[in-house]
Amino acid sequence: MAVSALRRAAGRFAAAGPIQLFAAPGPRFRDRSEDLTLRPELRLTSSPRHASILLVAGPVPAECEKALARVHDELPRPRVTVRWGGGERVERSGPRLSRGDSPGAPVVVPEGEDPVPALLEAGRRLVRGERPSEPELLPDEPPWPWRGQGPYGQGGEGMMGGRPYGRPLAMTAEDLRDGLALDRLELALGPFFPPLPPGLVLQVALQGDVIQDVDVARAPFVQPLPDVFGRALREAVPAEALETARVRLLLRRAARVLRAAGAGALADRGLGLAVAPATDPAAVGRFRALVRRGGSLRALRGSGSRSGVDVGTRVEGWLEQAERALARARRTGPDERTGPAADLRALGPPFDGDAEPAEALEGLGDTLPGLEWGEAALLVAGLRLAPYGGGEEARP
Amino acid sequence: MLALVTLSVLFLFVASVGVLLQVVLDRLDPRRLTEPQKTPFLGGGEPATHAWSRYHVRYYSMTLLFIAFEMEMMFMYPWAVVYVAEGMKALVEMGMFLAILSVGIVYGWREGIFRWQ
Repeated sequence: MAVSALRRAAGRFAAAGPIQLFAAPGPRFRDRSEDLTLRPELRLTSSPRHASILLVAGPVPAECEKALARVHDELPRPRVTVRWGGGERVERSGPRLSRGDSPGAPVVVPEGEDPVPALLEAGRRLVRGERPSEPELLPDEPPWPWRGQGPYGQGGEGMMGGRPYGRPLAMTAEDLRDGLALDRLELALGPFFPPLPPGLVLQVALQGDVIQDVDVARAPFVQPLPDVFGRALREAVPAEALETARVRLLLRRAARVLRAAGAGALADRGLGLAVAPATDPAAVGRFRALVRRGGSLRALRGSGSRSGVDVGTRVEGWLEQAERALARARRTGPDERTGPAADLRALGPPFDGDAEPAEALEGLGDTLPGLEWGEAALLVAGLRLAPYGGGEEARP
Repeated sequence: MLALVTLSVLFLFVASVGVLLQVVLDRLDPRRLTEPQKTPFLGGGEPATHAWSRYHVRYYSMTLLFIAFEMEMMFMYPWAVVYVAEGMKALVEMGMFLAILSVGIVYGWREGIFRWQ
């Protein structure tokens, strides 16, 4: 009696707080799921271990379904999956992800709808105990069972000879930093690793925290650019709309790097400016001053250097370009239009400054080795890696 | 005899409570980690090597050098006081001590301690 009353009280208490969710964005849904960080009722976690809801946003391709199941099972119980805008394929794969039409079947939200009410409802029902936890999708057994061979049960001869739990022991290898050899850890990161663009799978070899080797095992999901950039390649578009879209893109990029650097509050502020219906130039100026004063840029100086330009300089450059673009948007008349551009690069920042997604992706294998993991994450956060879809063309 | 029986009963009781806590409650615990939850979070990726990795303690050579020379000094100060009284015996003892310590220094030399950058 007392226990259940206590449990109900705890449930009410937990339901009143923000709902913790882990987002696994699919194609076209990176920005939309990023924007959920601005909702005070939700808290996006960077690890599924702290979440009670798995938000699968967008049509995640079938090849990533296994990775998604792994992420799903890493959520502690009770947990629930919310599928947002998956399209027809998700309706078909839904039962596969939830093992039949059990009461724990995922909540499905159509693409055009705001997922927040459904997320809140699912989360609150879960903590109140009105909704059962979803079962595991993967078998609850070690992926490589202990074989118990050898003098230490390591499954082989000698101290380092076996494969304990099926994985070979890390062995020392040449080191890039100072020649002192460390064990070389090899792992696959992604496709739902928050610091990386969704869909990107990196095969990484680490010694300590220094990256020794990087291989792109899977390219990121397509994330189309705002419609106006695609139209600007084909026809004349209103200059003001183009500049506003540019400001949003630049602010979003800066926010992404700031978030990767751990400056979450600043990132939220930048993202808030990026999604605001009308961006105020004074607000962008204030944000830029705040970023500069707050020491975040100083902390980023010298890290994630790419062809001599560090992440701090890049972020400052984007904010400066955003301010300038806003000023241009103010100056242009309502019917001023820009002619069709030859390619994205001709559209100016942020497209003219750095490599195209395909090039940048290919370059990862050369730029990341030798960097410490934190720096590499900052560098990746500032790169354009996700393809826009349809080659050069930015498709709406 | 009674004491022995009491002790055995007590021992059995404690052992079974231990087993109960370890095995039964662990199985019943709703928050028990499943096998997929025991793997590190890599965003859906998997580690290819085992996480039992050896980490290079980079300051170890400095530590070795410090201990070698500090121990030497620690011993040499009192030794210098008694050397006059003890004579040859003290000299031989110090020689043995330094020989043992110098093995460590020679080992460090081989490891490149003296290559300062």
